[in-house]
Amino acid sequence: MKVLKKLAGILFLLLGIFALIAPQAILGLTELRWLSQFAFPGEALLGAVLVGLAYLLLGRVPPPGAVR
Amino acid sequence: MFVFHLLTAATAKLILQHKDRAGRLFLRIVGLYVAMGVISLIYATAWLGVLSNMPLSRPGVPLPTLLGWFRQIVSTLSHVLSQQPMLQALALATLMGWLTATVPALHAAAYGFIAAGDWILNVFRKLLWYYPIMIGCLAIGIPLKFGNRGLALYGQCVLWEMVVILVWCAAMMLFCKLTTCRTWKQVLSYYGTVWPTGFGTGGSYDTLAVNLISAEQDLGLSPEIAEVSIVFGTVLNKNCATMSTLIVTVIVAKLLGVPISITEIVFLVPPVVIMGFETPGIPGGAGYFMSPVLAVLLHVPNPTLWVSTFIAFYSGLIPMFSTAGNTTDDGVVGALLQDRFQQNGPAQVAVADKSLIGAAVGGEA
Repeated sequence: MKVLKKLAGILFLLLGIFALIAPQAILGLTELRWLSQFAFPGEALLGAVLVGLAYLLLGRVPPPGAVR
Repeated sequence: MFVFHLLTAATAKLILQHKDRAGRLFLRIVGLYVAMGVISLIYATAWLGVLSNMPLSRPGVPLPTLLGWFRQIVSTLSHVLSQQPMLQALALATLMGWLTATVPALHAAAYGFIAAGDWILNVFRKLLWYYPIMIGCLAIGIPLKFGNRGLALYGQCVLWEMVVILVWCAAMMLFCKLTTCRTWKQVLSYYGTVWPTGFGTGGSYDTLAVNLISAEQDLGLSPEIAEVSIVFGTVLNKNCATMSTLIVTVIVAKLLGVPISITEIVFLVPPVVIMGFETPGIPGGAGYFMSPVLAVLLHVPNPTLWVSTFIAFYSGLIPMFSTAGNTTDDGVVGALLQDRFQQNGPAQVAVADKSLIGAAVGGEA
C-alpha cells in the first residue's frame, strides 16, 4: 500500500510538473517549445492540484514534537 | 515550475513559522511591493515628462471617464488572470501554500513543498560558478539589430533607462540607510554584490541565489525573513521592469508613429502595475508579457508590428538595468521588514523558526 502511494505520488508529481510547464513552454528554449502543443485552458490549475496531491501522497512528515 | 514551488514553499513557510503573525507579514510584504510598484510608475512618468517632448494630452482626443478607466483596469486584470498561465501559477502557488499550511491534514504537502523549495534554492546556490559565463554570453549577445533610426532610438531608450534606474537606485540606497539600521558599508556592500549580478544576468530568477546570500551576509537579514521576503520579491516585484516598460512604450510609439501623450501614460499606470506582478523574471520577460496588452490599451493600428518591435527594444541593456533595480529593491524591502516586523518579538520567532525549518528540511519522506 505504501509503495503504491509513493508510486502514485511520483506519477502525479511528474504529470503536475508537466501541466505547469506546458502552457509556459512557448516562452522558453526553442527545443522545448513542442511542449506548448499540449497546453489547454486551466492546465496550470490542474498542475498545481496534481503537485499538491503528489506531495500529500509522498507524505513528508516532520519528526514528532517538532511542530508546536 | 520552479517559481510555483518557490512561491508555495515561501507562503507555507511564512504561515508555519509566523503562525498568527503570518497574515500581517504577508500583507506587509505584498503591500510594500504594491506601493513600490505604484510609486515607481509615478516616478517614471514624471521623468518621461522631463525627458521626452510628449504633449500633456492629444488635441481632439477625449479623455476617458473615471468609469472607462476603471473598466480598463478590470479588463486588464481579467485578461491576465484568464489568459496568462504564469499569473495563474503564481495565484495558485499562494493559495496552495496557504491551504497546505493552515489545514493540519495537508501539512505533509506543505513540508513537501518546503523541502522541494529548499532543494531548488540549494541547486541555485551550487550554480554560482555559472554566473560569470552567463553574464559574458549575454554581453556578447547584445544585438545591433536595428536600422540607423532604430539604433539611435534604442540608444536614446538606454540613456533614459540609465538615468531613471540609476537615480531610483541611489534614492533607494538613501531610503535604506535612513529608514533601517543598516550602515553605509552594509548598504554599499549589498548593492556592490547584487546590482552587478542583476545587471549581468538580466533576470530576477537568475539573481535569486546571490540576492539571498548577500541579503543575509551583507544586509544582515535573518534567513527566515530573507527566504520569504527575497523569494516573494523575486517573483512578484518587477517595479523597475514596469518603469522600463513605460520608457520602451514611448520610444516604440515614436518609432512606429503611434500618437501618445503624458495623459495616456498616466492611464497606463494601473494596468502596468497589475501586469508587473505576472511578469516572469527572465531576461526580457516584461516585453513578452506586457506588449500585447499595451497594444490593445493604446489602440495600436498594427499590434503584430508593435509587439515584435517592443520585444526587440526590450532587450540587451534594458532588462539588465531593470533587473539590477528590481533585485536590489527586494533587499531594501527585506531590510525594512526585518527591522519593523521582528521588533515585535524576534526571540520567540527565532525559536519557532529553528524547530520548524529543522522539521521541514529534516523530515522523512
